Amino acid sequence: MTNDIHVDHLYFRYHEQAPYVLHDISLTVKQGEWLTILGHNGSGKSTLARFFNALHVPKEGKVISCGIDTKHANEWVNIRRQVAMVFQNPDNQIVAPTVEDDVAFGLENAGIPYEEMHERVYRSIERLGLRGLETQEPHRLSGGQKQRVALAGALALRPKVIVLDEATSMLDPTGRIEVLSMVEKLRKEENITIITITHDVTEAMLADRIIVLHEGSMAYEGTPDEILSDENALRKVGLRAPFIVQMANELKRQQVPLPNGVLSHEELVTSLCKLKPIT
Amino acid sequence: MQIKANHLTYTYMKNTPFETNAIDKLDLMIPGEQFTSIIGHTGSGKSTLVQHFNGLLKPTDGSIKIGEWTVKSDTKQKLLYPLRRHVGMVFQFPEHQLFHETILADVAYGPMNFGFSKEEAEKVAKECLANVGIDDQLFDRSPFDVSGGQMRRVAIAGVLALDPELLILDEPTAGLDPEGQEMMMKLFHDWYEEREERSIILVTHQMEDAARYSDEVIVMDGGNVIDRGTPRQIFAKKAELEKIGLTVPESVQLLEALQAHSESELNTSAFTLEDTVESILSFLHKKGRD
Amino acid sequence: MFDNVIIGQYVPRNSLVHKIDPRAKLLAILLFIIFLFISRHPVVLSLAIVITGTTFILAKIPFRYYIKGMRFIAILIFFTFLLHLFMTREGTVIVDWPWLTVYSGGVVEGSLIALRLFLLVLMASLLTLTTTPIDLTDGMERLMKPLKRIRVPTHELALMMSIALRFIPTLLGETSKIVKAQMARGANFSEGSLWKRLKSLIPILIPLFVQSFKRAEDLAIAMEARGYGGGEGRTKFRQLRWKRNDSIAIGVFVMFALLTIVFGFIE
Repeated sequence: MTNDIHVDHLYFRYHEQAPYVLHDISLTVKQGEWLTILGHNGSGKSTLARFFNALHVPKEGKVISCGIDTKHANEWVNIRRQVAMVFQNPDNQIVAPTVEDDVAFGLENAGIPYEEMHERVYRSIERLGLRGLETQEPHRLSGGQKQRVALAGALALRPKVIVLDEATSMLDPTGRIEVLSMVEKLRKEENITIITITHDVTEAMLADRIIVLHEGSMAYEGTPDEILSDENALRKVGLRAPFIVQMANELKRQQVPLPNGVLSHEELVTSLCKLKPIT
Repeated sequence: MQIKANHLTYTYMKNTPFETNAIDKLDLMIPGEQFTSIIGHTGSGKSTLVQHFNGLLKPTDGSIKIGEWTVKSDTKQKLLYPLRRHVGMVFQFPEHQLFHETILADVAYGPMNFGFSKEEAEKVAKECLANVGIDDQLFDRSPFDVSGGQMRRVAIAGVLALDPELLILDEPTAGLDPEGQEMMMKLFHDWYEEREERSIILVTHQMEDAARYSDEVIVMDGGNVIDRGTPRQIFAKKAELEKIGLTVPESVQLLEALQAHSESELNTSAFTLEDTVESILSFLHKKGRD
Repeated sequence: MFDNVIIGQYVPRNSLVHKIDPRAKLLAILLFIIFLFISRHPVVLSLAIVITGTTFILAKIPFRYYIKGMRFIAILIFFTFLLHLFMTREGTVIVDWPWLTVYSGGVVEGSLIALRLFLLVLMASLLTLTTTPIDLTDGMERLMKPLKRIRVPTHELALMMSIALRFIPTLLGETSKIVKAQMARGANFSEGSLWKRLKSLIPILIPLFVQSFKRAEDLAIAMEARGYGGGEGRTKFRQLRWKRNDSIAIGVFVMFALLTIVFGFIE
């Protein structure tokens, strides 16, 4: 397996005298993987994300995206075509006055010929379930629909990686589910590497691997099982364990012999049913 | 403060091709001195409804009575100013309303609109800022110069500075991280508990908050109220809620799954961690079927 | 308050006029405006009426949409009519009061100018009522393309217009929200002296500016992330296709232009 993103001893601060916003970050993202970078507001996670597609370029340390060192300015456009990004505020990333025009925006920039662009735009719209909304104006769409438009615009570029920078944090629960299920589908069916930046632990459960960022440093790294079941560790970095984990831990404290690493409702329910005395 | 809507209708973009009834002939009474939550899918009309409670919107048809004020389609704007002195409103992303040079002046803006002297207004502002946990060292800073979480608390202090009797909260925790959400809800709840005559109406997508804090939950769909009751009553209706795109709190989901899987009766209306644990423990200790 | 604004006054209909290429529409209107004022021959004027009337019927737009935009213009046209009625001193005297003299030439001149203005406004509204703002922008960009040679930044201008179109509703929504939030804090925009009223706008304008700058910044980053690098080497998703109907439409207006010239000589 090859690596899509490779970050090597990255340090970052806004100017010479400022404190470091990112401190000695080293990580790799494997092809086809879903990585979540978890942290509370202000932990530096969104800043880190901007290094992946050369929106920020390291002065100290190194970032290699899809095999290209991001320090080469002439490669930036090329990198951004392979590492697409969906941002937090749905209103502030749609450029064009209709859905189809916006999905086409990245392709227009890339100079894709009309016939191919046309085909790719409508395929992306189809994939993201936006059929029927092609000529709709963005301000008439729901938050979830707007983020799907952004995803469609990303998908149309046929990227290797899609980075979602808190892309669900301004959505209502329905919108959040709408977007996350689309992301899962894209990863499975298009084999796209996914990096989600979030403070939402339930969203983090979907990942293969989690990196917890705290005060600009990497605090923990591991599978969702390992990271999310450690209530105290999460609390230390200003996060809350998922409800189900809090629940399981409290039951254990009350002498209920539950197995370790219970992360889903089903697991907890089956374990509890086994424990119930049948007389 | 009691609220009484009588055949309330609100139409967006009347006389255009986009004309829609956001609220349709709604009859509703919300008693005062209670914590009420309004839940509903996006577009169910809940935000439109609560903007009638402080006269920001006037009914297209029908009327609404808030305390001693009655608002109809032809009510003069002028008569609505005093109403807003008694009904405060925190919008989604309230930090977008900050504008003054200093944090203190921004919070004092509301009281000064209602005729407080500068000294009086600043005195109130200082108290409110302390209540929301803003340090006095920040009072002379620009509101655009502090963290996002602090900006939101400043904005909320600006609403509380009017000392309203009724506080309307329209998704006040949107965009905050879990710790921030928890602190924010606690802040509102403490404010509510402080005095007998205070009421809160919370519009929310967070079923956990609606369940935990409210005395009563109102369910809206398609511009009308379709159900109301205590959290216990409302969140026992999982299937009905799911039909209109809503969920029940995670604790209830868990307990209902347990109940279904074990085929035994247990108390499923628990909204806090402690109550949920207790319900599970009593389930474990009870003897199962023979 | 401003929720769900309609940009421009576009009314979607499935009509022949709606389907005409925006370039054709813009050119046709241009021809019409120029040549409408060249000849006053009755044949030309009746032809202008027929053309406007036909377009009007083909566009399938209910009359009430015209009235909305027409009220102010109607007053303007009426005053122009009066002005010409009283100021023209040709032909025979029709009305001769001590304080007012109206000549027959005044009636002719006044009616003529009123008719021309009315036709012009009707045609211009037909353009905006049947063409989406994006199509208009697009059409203008294409027509302006030759200007690129004299260094007019046509791509940038068009992009600016399209982003403005995209964000007008968003900003209006934002404004409405801020107005409401400040009203909830007791702001009063409609009472007091002019100075006081102007000052009461500060709590709206500042948050609006702050938000707009934030949006602009976000948008710039999003555009950068999506590989935007100016008009160089860019392809276009919107393709305008010139169809037979477009040529016919232009043909009709060119005929009209030629006729006005011919009748201009006859006069």
